[in-house]
Formats: sequence, C-alpha cells, structure tokens
Amino acid sequence: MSIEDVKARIIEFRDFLINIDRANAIADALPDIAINLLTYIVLLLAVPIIYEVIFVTYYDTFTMTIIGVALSVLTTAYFIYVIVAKILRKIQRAGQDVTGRYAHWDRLLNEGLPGIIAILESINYDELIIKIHRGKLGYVVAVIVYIIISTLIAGFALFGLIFLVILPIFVFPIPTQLLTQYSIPISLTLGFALTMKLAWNRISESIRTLWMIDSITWELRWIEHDLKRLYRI
Amino acid sequence: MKVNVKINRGSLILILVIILCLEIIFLLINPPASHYIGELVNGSGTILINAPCGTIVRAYIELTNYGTTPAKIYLPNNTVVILGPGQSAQTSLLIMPKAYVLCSSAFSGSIVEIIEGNTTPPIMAINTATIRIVGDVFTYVNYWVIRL
Repeated sequence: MSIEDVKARIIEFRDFLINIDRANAIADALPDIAINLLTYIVLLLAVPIIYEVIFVTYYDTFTMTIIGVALSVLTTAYFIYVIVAKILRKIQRAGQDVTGRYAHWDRLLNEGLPGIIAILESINYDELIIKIHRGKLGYVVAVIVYIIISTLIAGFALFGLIFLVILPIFVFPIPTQLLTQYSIPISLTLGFALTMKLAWNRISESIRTLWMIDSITWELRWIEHDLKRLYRI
Repeated sequence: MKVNVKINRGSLILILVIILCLEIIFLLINPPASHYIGELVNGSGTILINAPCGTIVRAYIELTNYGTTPAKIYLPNNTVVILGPGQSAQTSLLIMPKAYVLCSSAFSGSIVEIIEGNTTPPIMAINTATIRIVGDVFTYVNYWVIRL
C-alpha cells in the first residue's frame, strides 16, 4: 500500500470521526431535549387539570371560555417555541464546530509519513470505541426525534390547511364525526408521509451514517494493522 | 443574602417525571368530564348532592315545572323559589367537604341522588346539600367531581 492510499484512508477516517463527534454532540444535547419535551408535556397535562379545578370551583362559562382560549394559545405558542427554537436548533447546531477539530490534519498529511504517524498516534482508540457506542445512540435518537417533530409540524400544518381552509370551502357543514374523530389521525398520517417524502434523502443519509459508524470498529482495526506494518512492529 | 440553587439535569428530569406521573394519576382519577342525571319528580321529591370526604363537587341544577300548578323549590341556603307552570330555574352549587371532619367512613352511595316522595334517606356523606321539591318538576343535574 502506497502513502497516497494511506492518506486516502485517513481522509476517509477523518470523515468517520467527524460523524462520530457530531453524533456525540447530539447525544450530549439529549438530556436538554428530554427536559424541554418533558416540560412541555407537564405543562400540556397541567392545562386540563387547572381548567377543571378552576371550572369546578369558580364556574363561570364566560370566564372559562377566556381562560380556555388563553391556555390553548399559550400552550400552542410554547409548543412552537420548544420545537423550533429549542429542540430543532439544538439538533442542527450540535457538532457544528466538529470540522475545525481536524483542520490541522491537512497540514500533517502534507508532511508525508511523519505526519501520518503523528495523526495515528494522536488518536485515543479506547476513547474512540466509547464514542462510537455513544454516537450510535445519539444518531438513532436524533433520527427518531427529527421524524416525530417533522411529522407533528407537518401534521398540524396539514390539519389547518385541510380541515380549516380547504374542506370548509367545498364541504359545508363538515361532518362532525370526520372533524372530531378522524381529523387528527388523518393529518398525522399525511404529515408522516410528507415528512418521509421530503426528508427521505436526509433520513437515508443518517441511516447510512449509522451503518458507517458500525463499520468504523473494523476500520480502526485495519488502520492499527497498517500502522504496525508501516512501523514493522 | 443571595442563595444560588443549582439542580443538575438528571435531578430535573427526575422531578419532571414525578410531576408527570402525578398529573397522569390525577387525570386518571378525575377525567375532565361531567356526569348528569335527569328525572321527573311527580308531587314531591328531594335532590341530594353528596360531597364525600376528599372530594369537591360542583352541581349545575336545572328545574322545570311540568305541572299545572306552581312548584316550590327549597334551596340549601334557605331560600324558596316558586316556579309557575312551564317556568324553569337554574342554580349552581359548590359542595366541599368540611375540613374538620376526618375521612373516617367510606362513602358508597352516589354523588347525586334524586328521590321521589316525602321520605328523605339518611345522609351518608360528610357534607350534603339538599334541595326539596314540591310540585311536578323535571330535574336535570349536571355535576363535576374532583377527588383529591
């Protein structure tokens, strides 16, 4: 194997490391994402409890309508804030600085064999194995969270579009059963289909990356083997 | 003096999960839905609204005189409402258990009972509101219960 071949494999290896670091950054962000989601669910369940307690103790239909509308608006606004401003941004920003960590590898690779050895020696293989296992979890959770959030956003948008705009124009009055029982499952199913259609490339890329992360253990062994051969150990 | 309280993420997740579990238990015990009972009282009758220990009951009562003579409604606050034929009246009651009474006995009856006739059954609950009806009155009670 020539030096050029080894350089090519190291560049490939750097891409693996970048993916692993990104996945780890996502795994680091998971507790924050969980806190945001749990806070939202706690608030969402608190709304009917507060409403019920106020309704039973106070009992005024006009005031209750105002409180109901206010609570619905606040929870919807908080939902949008949590999803868009907190969770999606956190996933997108996770690992943005990763590429910079390996910028000096280009210079070392240009130095030839001493640079290659310096690169390989700088890698902590034990730490890397732990990173791989953690990164896999981060990637799986990030893909699932991404699909769920995109489905929810697309579902709500489609619900508004179909059941509040398009259907009332053509069908009036809308059958109550359709609006109450089937509107949300239909919207979420369509939202899921739309998400898979629009984000299929991104999702399949993530799944491919997951497979690449799996194969990195073998890559590491191969590089170790080549390193030993280069050193004639 | 400034006190800084720092909660780590693990503890925060644990606290949120505990709150979530409590909320789920509360909603399972108290689904946000009302119950109703409707009955025609011929001649005379009594509406009993029981608030067993550890509950708060809100009852919305609608009374309509279906008879040909005026009907008398004796409300728990000692007021008397007289309904002419075809007339209707509404009232809303909040019944809370008395704080100084211990939850010593289990309540096995129903929260709202409409009893026809002059006989009034013994009061079973910790706190009970009684509405006495004289006349042919259709009684509709819509009630919400919160079990604490």
